[in-house]
Amino acid sequence: MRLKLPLAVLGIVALLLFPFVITSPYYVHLVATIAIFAIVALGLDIVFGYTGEVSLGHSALFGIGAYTSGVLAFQLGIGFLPSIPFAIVVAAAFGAVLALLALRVTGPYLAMVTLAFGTIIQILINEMTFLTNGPLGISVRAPVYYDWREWGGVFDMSLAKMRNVQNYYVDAVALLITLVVVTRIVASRWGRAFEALRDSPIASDCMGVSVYKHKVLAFVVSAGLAGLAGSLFAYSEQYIAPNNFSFDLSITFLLAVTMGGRKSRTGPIVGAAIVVFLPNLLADIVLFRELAGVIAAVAVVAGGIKMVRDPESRARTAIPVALCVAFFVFALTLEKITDFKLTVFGAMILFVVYYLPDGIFGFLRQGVASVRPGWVRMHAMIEVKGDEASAWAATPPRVESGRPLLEVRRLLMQFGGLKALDNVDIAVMPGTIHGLIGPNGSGKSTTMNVLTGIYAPTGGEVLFEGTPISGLAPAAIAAKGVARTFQNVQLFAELTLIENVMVGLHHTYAGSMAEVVLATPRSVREEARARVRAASLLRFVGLEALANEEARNLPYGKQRLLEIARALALDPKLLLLDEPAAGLTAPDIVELNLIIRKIRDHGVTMILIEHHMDVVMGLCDTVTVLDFGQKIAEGNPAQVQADPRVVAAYLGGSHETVAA
Amino acid sequence: MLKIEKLVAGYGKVRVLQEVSITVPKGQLVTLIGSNGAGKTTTLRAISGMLKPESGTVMLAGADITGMPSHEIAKRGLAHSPEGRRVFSTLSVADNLELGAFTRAIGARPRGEIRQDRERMYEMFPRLAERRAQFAGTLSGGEQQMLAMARALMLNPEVLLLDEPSMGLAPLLVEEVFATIARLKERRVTMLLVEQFAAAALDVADYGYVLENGRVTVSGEAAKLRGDPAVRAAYLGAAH
Amino acid sequence: MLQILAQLIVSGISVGMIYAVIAFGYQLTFATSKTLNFGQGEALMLGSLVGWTVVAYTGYWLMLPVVLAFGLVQGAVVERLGVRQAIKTKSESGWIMATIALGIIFRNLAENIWGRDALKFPSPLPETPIALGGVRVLPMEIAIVVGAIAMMAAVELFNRRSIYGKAVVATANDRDAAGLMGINTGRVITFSYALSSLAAAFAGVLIAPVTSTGAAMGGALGLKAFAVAIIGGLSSGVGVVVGGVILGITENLTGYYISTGYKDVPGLVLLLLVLSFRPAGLFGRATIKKV
Repeated sequence: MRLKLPLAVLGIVALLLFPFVITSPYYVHLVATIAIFAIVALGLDIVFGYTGEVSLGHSALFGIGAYTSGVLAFQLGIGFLPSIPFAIVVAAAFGAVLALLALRVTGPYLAMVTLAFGTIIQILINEMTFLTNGPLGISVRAPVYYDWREWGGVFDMSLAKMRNVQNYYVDAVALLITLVVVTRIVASRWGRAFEALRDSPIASDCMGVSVYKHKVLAFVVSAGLAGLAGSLFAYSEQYIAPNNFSFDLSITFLLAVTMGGRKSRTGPIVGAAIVVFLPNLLADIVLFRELAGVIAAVAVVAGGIKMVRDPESRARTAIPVALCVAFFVFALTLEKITDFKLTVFGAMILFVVYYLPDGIFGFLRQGVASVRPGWVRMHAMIEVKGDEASAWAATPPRVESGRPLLEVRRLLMQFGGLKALDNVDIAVMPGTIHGLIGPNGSGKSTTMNVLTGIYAPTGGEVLFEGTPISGLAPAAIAAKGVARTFQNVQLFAELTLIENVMVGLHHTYAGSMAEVVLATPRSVREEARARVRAASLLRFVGLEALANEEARNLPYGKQRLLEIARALALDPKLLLLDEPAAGLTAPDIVELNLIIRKIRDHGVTMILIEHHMDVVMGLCDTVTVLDFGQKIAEGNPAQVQADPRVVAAYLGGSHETVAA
Repeated sequence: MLKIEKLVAGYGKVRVLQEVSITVPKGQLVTLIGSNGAGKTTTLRAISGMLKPESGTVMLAGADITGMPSHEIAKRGLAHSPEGRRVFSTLSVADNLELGAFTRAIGARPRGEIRQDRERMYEMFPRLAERRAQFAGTLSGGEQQMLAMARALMLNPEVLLLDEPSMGLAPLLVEEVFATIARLKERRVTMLLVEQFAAAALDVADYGYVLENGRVTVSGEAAKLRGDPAVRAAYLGAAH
Repeated sequence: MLQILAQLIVSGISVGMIYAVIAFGYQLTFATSKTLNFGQGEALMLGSLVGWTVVAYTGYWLMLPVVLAFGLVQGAVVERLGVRQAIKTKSESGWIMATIALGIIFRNLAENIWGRDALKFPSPLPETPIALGGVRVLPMEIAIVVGAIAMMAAVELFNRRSIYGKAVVATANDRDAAGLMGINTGRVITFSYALSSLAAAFAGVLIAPVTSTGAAMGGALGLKAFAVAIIGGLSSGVGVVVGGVILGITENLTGYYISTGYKDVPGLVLLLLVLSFRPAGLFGRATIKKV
């Protein structure tokens, strides 16, 4: 953190002075290209790093940006700068189309959708000759904005060179703007939403953060940046053709992000520098051999040290070291390396996937962190203090007195031939804790999933505050004031505790993404307010001290408490707790009991699924017992506990020995 | 025959078992009971290699099998009929049974022997014989349970682990399952039975362990546990 | 007019069967490990080029076993280098990126060994078309259909009849339960990759005499075969044949009636549409998501 600001200033100064220090047009153009690739990589990082999806379509989005500017110049004579907004908007629109096509798929399917999309775009650019001039490509001329040659001195240069330098500055400024935009978006509620849908789509939806909507948004932002970069690329190269935007380019972008390091600003820039420089490096076989030699030497030394220190991992360490040495030998045997550019790229991807999953920047960051933990932060530190009063903001439920808050009527849920729920009726009165128990497979979790919209019921209906909610999407039900926790904890693992809670507070923001990018007073205020509330909620469950820890590093018991805090951030009228005590130690359970009571004291109605009977019997006002998807008993805890049907369901049919 | 000592296991950061020790003597039926989430299934998974234990030892017939992959453990004669039955739904009943004997089928043993074993299973579970050509996925829950048990027996196991054979079955079928277990016990099959239905399990078992929150809280002769109020409390909580 | 249509349909069928074989390869690995080789097209290309080299010495029929063996090894290498670790660490983007990287490496190496240009592949059968009721069919096109069906039938027979095949099906059904039977499921997954690349390599030497071969032939074929696998469903054997044939015919019609430049588009559009409206495929069944 302390290093960040001076380094950033240094970087900006270096970027701006570069063309006057290294005056070779070749290198000025090279750095401009790095800036352009960095813009794509920063945008791709939003999709790849933050939402966790592999996109193989970014070369096409980049191409769409390039061709928008190219076609506008070629067909309508519109200049470079005026064409940039068009390039961004058109690419973003295509990004939206791509995201809509990929809405219901993830992982390999999404990768294939993006690949098919990219291939189609490339074919269209190639074939739509009337618009794009087809395989012949389009030539454009970078403009000169201001003739500074008469100033003399360092500004005395040829027209071509001035064109080159001025174009460089356009690219450099675009990169700086991109850095600001991306940094602000990923630090805002949008960035948290992107990470949330990666770590747990179901929990995102149940926190009112619609997975579909935010996935489309992530693609739109990412595509817009690719479009911007494409437009810059067209004028930097001054010539574009369809085969510039092939599948291999998408791989190059992905390599830049993974190699540099996901989820950072520095990483994609470092990665872009590597992928742009590398082909030039490969052209010089001697230099390439020397570099391979240096890498092999470093690997041998570092690996050697590690093997001595940690003998157990010897075999595992030996493999990458051997690979680096083999790579050096391979470099020595080759006469001409340029032809093997893609092999080198491929090998680098494999290496990164296996040995540098966090990229070069992530690796360095960890290295520094192991020596000076205070110097690096993976997350923004949020150190506001919470207070009890700020934690609660729920409005009282709108139900007539004596009417239930939640009413489940003749609920039927069928999976194939299996009736998981068979005509179940439940009425939950406001202000109560309603227990839901039953043996394994009795339909408790299914009930939970129907109530929160994860399943649409086969029959029957669910009324909340008197209006039907069955069949609504999870995010819509969450917005009405129904929050939940999960049996198998569903936290946003790579977000900090306070960020987890702030995902739950997504609904408290009104500002748009544009306001976030411009850092308007309202968006700053909203963020500050959300931080205080989140800190207060953490304080309520006793996790304030761990606010800036990643959720995945929490012990299990604390994870369950964090889920409760996150659910409370929704300001729920009804809170569904799905086995909150599972896996907790005895002291944890005592704490949990206290917290649940306090939540009730604040007027929140709860449904509690739990196997720890002491917890259920001690807390609940009413208990419903399910068995084989049917309600077999209902009443206060003592009644239910004594009910012979309940005892039989739990301890086994006709055997009276224990039941006595 | 099977001896586990101070077994600690869990999923990721979640530690489910805290130093569980259980002994299953040769030819005996031992049952492990406890409420949902107590760690019964996790215990069996850690024994059969579906889950790598963090610490502790698992000994099968005197040999240390801790942390081996499940296919190695199966070769050493441990059969596990897992929770939820897990039959191979797109294979026929006969093929399911044949795969139960996979460790023997790839050795030098003649195939005839496996076929004979299969016929014995059909005698023991006549309903499976009727449905031998049917896909296992089309069987009813009770039939699938029979198949899962028969498939595990096809290994000719030294020890058989049964995980909640009664789960999700109607009461009549539950009785049938327990009758089958009783028959296996007569044949001196060494078994570790995990059950939620404590009463029924203790009726057939020789010895019982009660698991609560990943720890063995009570253990003893099955006959003694039957009347023990601590067992009831483990399920329904202490009376209020 | 009608005759042209019939002609297009008939030649579409043989191309479609090639797609079906590659798609079948996707199914094999997906069934056992829920992973796919993004370099499946490259496996086909390598098989075809190796065949091109070998065929000069041995003739077509003796070349086949060599290519099939090469396919087995190539697939096992992909699994070992690209997939195994990622399955262990449950890293989805890991195997996606790794198999893509291997695909690129294979293509680049092929370019350096065999060059970038298309190579003529000698046909083992007469190259004069046979007239069947006015429609002219190449003998090799018939061989493609027969070979493709034989290939898929052989694998299906193996899966249904032999104990090892049943072990593969068991692993596909339930990997954990298969392990409990004593089946080394890691090895089954390696085997499924080997078999998948074998299928691709076989498809490569089947199609090469008709279309010629070359380092660039893999990418589009792999992608379109994925479209077929999705259309047909990743779990339906009949589905890929139907899907392959539909795609082969549609492509031929597009190429003839619109423009050869757009020939690849219908398959890709179909892929996009199926994935956006019916992710489980036209023949597959939707699965219920669990919480």
